[in-house]
Amino acid sequence: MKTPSLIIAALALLAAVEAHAEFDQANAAFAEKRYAAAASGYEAVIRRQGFSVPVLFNLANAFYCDGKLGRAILNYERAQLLAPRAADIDRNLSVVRRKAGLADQPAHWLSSNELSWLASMTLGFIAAGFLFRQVTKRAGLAWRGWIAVNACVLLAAMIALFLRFPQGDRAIVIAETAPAYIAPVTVTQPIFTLTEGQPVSIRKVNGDFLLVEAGDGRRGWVTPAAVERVTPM
Amino acid sequence: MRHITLIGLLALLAQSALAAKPEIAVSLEPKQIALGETAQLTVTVSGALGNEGILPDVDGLEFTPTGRSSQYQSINGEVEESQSLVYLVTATHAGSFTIPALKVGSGHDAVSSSPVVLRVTGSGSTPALRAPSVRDDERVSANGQRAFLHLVTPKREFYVGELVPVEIKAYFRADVSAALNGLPQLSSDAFTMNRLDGKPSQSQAMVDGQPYVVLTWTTALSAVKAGEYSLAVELPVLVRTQDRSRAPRGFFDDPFFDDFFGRVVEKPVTLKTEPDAAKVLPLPGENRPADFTGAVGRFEITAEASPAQITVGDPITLRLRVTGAGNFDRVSSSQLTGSSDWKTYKPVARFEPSDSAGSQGTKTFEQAAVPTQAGTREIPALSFSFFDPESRQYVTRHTAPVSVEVAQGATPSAVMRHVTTPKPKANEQRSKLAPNRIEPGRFVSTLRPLFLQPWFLMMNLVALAGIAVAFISFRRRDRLARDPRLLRASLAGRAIREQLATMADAVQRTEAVIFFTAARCALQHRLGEQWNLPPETITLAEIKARSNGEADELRRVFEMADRVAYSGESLPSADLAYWQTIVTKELERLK
Repeated sequence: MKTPSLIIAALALLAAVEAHAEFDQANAAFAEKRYAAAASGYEAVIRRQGFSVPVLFNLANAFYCDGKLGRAILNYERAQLLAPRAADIDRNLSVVRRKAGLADQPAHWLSSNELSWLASMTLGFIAAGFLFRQVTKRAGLAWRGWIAVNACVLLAAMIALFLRFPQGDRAIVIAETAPAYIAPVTVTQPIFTLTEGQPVSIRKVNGDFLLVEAGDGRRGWVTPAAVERVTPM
Repeated sequence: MRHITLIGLLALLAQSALAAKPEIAVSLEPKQIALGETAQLTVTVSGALGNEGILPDVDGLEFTPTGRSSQYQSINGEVEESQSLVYLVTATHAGSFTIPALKVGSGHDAVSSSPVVLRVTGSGSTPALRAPSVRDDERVSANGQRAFLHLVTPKREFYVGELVPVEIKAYFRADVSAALNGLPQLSSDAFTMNRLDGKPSQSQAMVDGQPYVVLTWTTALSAVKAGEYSLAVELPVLVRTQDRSRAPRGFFDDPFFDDFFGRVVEKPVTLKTEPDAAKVLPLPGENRPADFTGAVGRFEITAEASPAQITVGDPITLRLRVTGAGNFDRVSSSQLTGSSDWKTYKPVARFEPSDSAGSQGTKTFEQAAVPTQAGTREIPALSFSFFDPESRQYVTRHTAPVSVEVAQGATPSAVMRHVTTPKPKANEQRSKLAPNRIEPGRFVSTLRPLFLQPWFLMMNLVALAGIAVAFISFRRRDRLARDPRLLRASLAGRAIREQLATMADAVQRTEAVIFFTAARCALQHRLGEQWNLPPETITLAEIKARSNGEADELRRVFEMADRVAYSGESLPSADLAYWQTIVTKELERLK
């Protein structure tokens, strides 16, 4: 039983060390102004080890310096999912959005994950309150207050999560221009064109097309290569 | 017959050519040679033939004719012939020589070429490592060979790892037709040779009074182990010769057709240099610097960092340049190591040779470094050690420390949050991208929200279920606390379940006393609940008083219980089962 655990732990450690080395190499490439190579390096780290705020942030920086504004915004937003109050991410995202001709969008004060943890914690506090009552057989005013406060916080967190749920469909336009069609075919004239970096919501998938909704409410069908979800499937 | 036809054709061509206006062109390659080398002079004459004595005498220059070729060109039915005369030009002393204009034709048809100038130098410039002298060719002797190989080395004694520039020269007499069948190779494994160019330089030289074409590879070799070895080089070539073995020729029985149809065979031949003794010295073990990595030669180093003014988190590029001559493949840098002031990355090396042998040039190490703290930061001196074969001792060079002004960044990164400095101005913040993070941070496997991840949902569902169970439990307890009858019924129900279990166990073990005690207790709890009396107060007398002659079964159970309790009577299992049925029915009836 111990041996498989040790092997798994050793493999995980090895992967972490390699990912760290790859991250350093990508940083070195960035420092040498080889931005495309740096971006490839950061993406390799993500494939190997998963997502982290610094890797996503540096990847976005590399894309920005390489002139790929859409991918830069995409990865800043991904980094912001994990660190919603990071000032450097907020600042760079603002810089890139302005360069792309897009309006600034204020970041949420709490991320979805933080709201989830808040809800989970309050649920735990409520459970602890019930356990306390079970043990002490007392249910005074303080106990009721404790349960009420936690229930209110839990409710607020659940409402916030519910309201933020549609953002799971949020995507960023990564193509330089993305023509949006009235139907999932390209033989018609596009009804409008999305610009690189523009945020959209994916409403429907039909074969090789996605129905997206822009911030101004316009809807059109685009090819999947034109946009990428902020939260990968 | 065939000869007559050919002669007629040539006569016609000559007649047509003679009628054309003559032209002359003179080319000289190269324009500059060293003393002992040769240049090639080509004189092309068209429209006029038979003027072979056109070369004037030039003091200090000797012209040796090496070949002649003819070309025929037909334009609108007029055939024009041109002839090229090739001469090797050698000089008797250094200087600048002018070959005057050459003249052909006469009268109105006379034409002249432009004069050409040949510069002959005494000797070349002396590089850091002495290249083989061109005068070595003077020592070359063909010994009657039509093709031979010659290795030119500046020294026969050198150190392990020392890069020695050499020239490999393949000589082919002008009348030999040959092709290379590979590159020169060392015949000893004690030496290694730098990469050779597939296209050697080509020149002409006079050896033993004969013109030779010389193919020259310039490279460098080094020894891998100490000792005395034989140094030789081999070169595979294909020599083209006429195949005289074919017979009979039949209808085309004429040597002309041998040439015309090219009955030529290629014969593989390996040219070898004369073995030369070489002594390879080991590198001395004394005074060997700790950072010595095997570099042998003569080098200088410089270091620079750019930009000189940066912000915390921005990378600078530290460049260490090693310039000189030697085995650059063993040149490595003592790179800047990470410290509290600098986060460093592995350097990248780039070598730019300044000679074809790859023994001279500049090796540049570029290392990215990121300052982690603001202020005037110093990149310490870097060192590089090598062995100088000329002075026969180790040498260590040091760079000067480099100062870099590091301003505080606009936003702190993950590794520099402890630095407290004034917040930068807003416009400054807006104008520049925040720098990269240095540490990779904590990884997560997915960006999907937690509330959509199964383990998180499961954890919270368990907590929710616990709360629900506790809530229901409290509600029930409160209800019981508010209603004594319900509480009594609940307690009675629990007690009856326990007694029934005891009874069943007693039937199995045929223990009548235990059975009837449990049966009476169960009935007492049921009757106590019904009559709102404590169970222990229910006796046979109480039952008789309240039953008004009914409830015979109850009475029988209580009577039997008294009897068994006092007498200790034992009953068979079947009887106990019978009484168990009666008690169960009574409990159901009274419920």
